[in-house]
Amino acid sequence: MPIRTSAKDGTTTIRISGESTVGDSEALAASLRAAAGSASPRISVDLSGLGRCDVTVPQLLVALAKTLEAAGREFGIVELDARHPVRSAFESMGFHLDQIDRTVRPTP
Amino acid sequence: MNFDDNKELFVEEARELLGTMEAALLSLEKDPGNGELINEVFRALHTIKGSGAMFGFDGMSAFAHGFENMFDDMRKGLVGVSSDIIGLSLRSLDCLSAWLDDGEAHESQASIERELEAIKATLRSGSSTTAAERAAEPAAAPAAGRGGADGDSDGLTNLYRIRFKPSRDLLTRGVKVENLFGDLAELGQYYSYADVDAVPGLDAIDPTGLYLSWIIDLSTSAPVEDIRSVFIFVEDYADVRIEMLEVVDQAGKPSVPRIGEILAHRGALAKEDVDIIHQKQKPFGELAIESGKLSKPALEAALAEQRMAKAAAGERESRKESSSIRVRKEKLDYLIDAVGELVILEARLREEARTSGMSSFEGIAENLGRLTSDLRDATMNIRMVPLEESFSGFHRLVRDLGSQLGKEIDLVIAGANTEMDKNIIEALKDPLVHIIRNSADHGIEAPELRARLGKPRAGTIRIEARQQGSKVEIAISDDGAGLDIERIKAKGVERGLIDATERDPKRIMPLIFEPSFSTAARTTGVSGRGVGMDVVKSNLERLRGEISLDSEPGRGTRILLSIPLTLVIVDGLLVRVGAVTYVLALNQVEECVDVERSEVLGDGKRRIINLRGKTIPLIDLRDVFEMDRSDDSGAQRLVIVDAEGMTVGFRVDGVVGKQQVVIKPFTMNLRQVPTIAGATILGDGSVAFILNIREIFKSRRQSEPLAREGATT
Repeated sequence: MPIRTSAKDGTTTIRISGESTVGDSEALAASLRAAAGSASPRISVDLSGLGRCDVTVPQLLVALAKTLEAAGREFGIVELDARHPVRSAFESMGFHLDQIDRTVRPTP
Repeated sequence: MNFDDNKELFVEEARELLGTMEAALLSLEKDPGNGELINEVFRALHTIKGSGAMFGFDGMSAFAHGFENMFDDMRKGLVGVSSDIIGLSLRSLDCLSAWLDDGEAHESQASIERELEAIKATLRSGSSTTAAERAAEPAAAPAAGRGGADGDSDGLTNLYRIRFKPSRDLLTRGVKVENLFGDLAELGQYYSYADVDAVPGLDAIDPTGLYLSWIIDLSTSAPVEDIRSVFIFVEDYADVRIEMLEVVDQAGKPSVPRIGEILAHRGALAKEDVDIIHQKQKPFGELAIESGKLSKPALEAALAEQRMAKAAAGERESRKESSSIRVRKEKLDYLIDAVGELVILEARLREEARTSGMSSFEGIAENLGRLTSDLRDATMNIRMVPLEESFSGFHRLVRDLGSQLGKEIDLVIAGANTEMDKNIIEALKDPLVHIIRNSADHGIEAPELRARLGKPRAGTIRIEARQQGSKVEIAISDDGAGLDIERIKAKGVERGLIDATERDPKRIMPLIFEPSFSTAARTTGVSGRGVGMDVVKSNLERLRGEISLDSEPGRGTRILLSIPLTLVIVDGLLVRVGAVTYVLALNQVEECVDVERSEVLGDGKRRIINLRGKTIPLIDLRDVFEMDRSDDSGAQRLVIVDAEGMTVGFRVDGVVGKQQVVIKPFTMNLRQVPTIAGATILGDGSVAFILNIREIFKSRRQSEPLAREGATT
């Protein structure tokens, strides 16, 4: 599960590729914690390179969103194509990308 | 039942399936993401393919198979819904329908198959990415949280709510949650909603722990044991609660909960908030989100549940229909006829009992009368079917007309569950088609013109049906240009149908019902040949129905059809003319009055009376039936009737009374007498003719213009 982090214009972007399951969850959590610890006011997660994942991925993203929300920082997930397998996998497990974003951007 | 009978039943069933598919395809065009509609088409094609082959429709079966495969791919998310596919699928239904009619391939079959192959080839070449994506997906994970199995079993579809709250260590026990969802997808359609409230922040989270719980709505025909078996390996480490949601009300009728009820039941909104939002007049979900009390995903979850409840309720309804027995129409007609004879015989028996003076005989006759009455009502009710049967095809008609004419047209149907005699519904179909075609062609304007006029680009045709006493009213209206009164008038004057001084639109508009009357400057493939509205009117009149219209320039036209519920039994008023008894349809009778001869003004055949300040023309039924009218002194007995919107008095010799009469069919010779609508047999065994009020009025008006009605003095 390659994870790459980059920062540009006040946004830290975490790109997750390959597969990510419970066995990778500690490593993923560590990367997310590192990103959350950065000074960037905005954190973005790009899942477009992720091919397969289990429930730990959306759960950790929710945790990240909640952490950032508590710190008054912004969080977003890079828009995925409607047919992207991760989008389908998330939705089949009851996660909707709006739902994860909403924890930091509640509907006005 | 032999093979041919079964084959006939298959053809009948296949026709119904084609109707179901047509409705589903048209809905799918507007709602391409609706998996249940795709399943519906797939199941119907699957049935036609399988049963068709069994009854020797091998070519048709193979043809259906090609489309079945495509819809199977759609179910699996391999192929998206496009207007090309919908259009081709609709044409394939026409092809299948022709196959059922003629037992052989339709001429369009080959071209449709070529187009299908072309579409499939395009999809195949463009689907490589999709295939790769699918390979990367978690095993058995359905798209968009909805499962793929169609629940194709003999059981009814039920809607279940599963509350799944696993223990924190479930993942470290080797359980793959996504596989549970995959298993649920095998059982039917589901929508899951993960509750993330218990998920802590990154600082506190154990990445291998599970902090989530789920609410899953599953629509399936599988038994609840199958659902439990999905969770069998996790039940020691999770709280799993399964409840069946009601999709029928207490009366056993399909019932779909309102979105507010669903959200309150899910705990997403408090009951009092639901009530407050309900008091406003916007879609509930929209208001709930605006209020800030509800998130969009929670609303999506509730809407998904409502969709599944609708689907489950709809399936129950269709299953309920399929649990009925099919009876050949001829058998039913015979039963109705026999009951009609029984009603006549019972009337005779009652008459005999009354004159016999034997109280025990009268008692038996009375009981028989009650039973006969119940039997008659029950038998008549068998033939009553919802108008939906006829209306459902109009969506396709309007869609095709829209494409043909380059117009955007929405069809809105209300009251399709109104019931009528099946024979009348069948006879109504052609007139309705004609009216809709006229509305689409002449009424609804082109989208650009509508936009310039400040109207929505899409025009609307509305069909509304409702029962009004012993009649059904069907109103067909559009929001188009309305009738061009001046052109109708000019044409009417040119043909000598009205006077050039006529200004009343209510007298000008009905000219469109005159034979060969058309104001269209050009004929189109759809209408404008002047053959139509007169035929519509005469068809309606054959059904003892009436047609009227109203139109406003720039606002649209409304045509109202009023048709009796049944053609077999009529409430009649028995009148005597000379020594002969006639029947007038009671719903056209306004009142009976006696007037002195001196109150009748005019002479010969042109007579009028002044009834409470209103001038009413008279028709002496003795003239109509060429009877002796030398004795014209004394009181005149009049039956005041409504004929084509005019009030007319029929002069009769006596009023016998009200009676429900059974209409008996005429032989071909008597059908040529337009003033007689039918005949019935009275209690004493004599025959009485049922008068066609409208035709009498028309024939008298043509032979001798009547005094104009309505003037007040």
